[in-house]
Amino acid sequence: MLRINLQLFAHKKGSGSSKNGRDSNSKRLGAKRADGQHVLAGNILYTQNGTRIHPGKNVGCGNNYTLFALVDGRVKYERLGRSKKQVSVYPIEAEA
Amino acid sequence: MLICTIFKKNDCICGFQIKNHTDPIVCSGVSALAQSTVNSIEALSGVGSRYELETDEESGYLYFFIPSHAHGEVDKAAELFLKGFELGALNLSEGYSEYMTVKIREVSDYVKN
Repeated sequence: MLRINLQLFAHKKGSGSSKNGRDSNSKRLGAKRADGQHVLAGNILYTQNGTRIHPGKNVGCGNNYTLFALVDGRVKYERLGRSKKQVSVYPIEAEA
Repeated sequence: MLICTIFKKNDCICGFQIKNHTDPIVCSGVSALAQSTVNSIEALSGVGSRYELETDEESGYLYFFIPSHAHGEVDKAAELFLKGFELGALNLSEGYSEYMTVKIREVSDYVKN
């Protein structure tokens, strides 16, 4: 007596393998303070590879291109020339 | 494309042969039809286990033949099951013509390839 095999005429799909599937860990880059946010001197504003955003007024640039505030104040993201951007920090009393 | 060949002698069905792989859905339909026909003939007809059967899962092949039918000693119940198989196979091939085809072959004796 035959034991019924429903896949007797089915294509046998070979289990292929993929050469992909690797990735590095994410480096959590990007903006750490938003435009208009109040910051203290030393606060990190933006972490990046290379100068996607340039340091503006009262902003320093670390050796790994991290931008940080040099004074207390409010963050401002601005255009720099035709195609670049910069971030500046304006002290609070200077705005009043 | 799955090819189902039905062997006949003087309009009496002697057996069938199914080969080649096909679409999974059609495959399971044909598998159920063919294998339950073989089981029914063995369990419920006078032929019992006096038949020839070959299956090969790798290449997708099933061959079933009742020699006594080819010699003219026809078992009524077995013939009815085989006619039911023919009907089912023809219906399946009409509905899934791109995956399956049915051929009728007149045999003088039990010939298979």
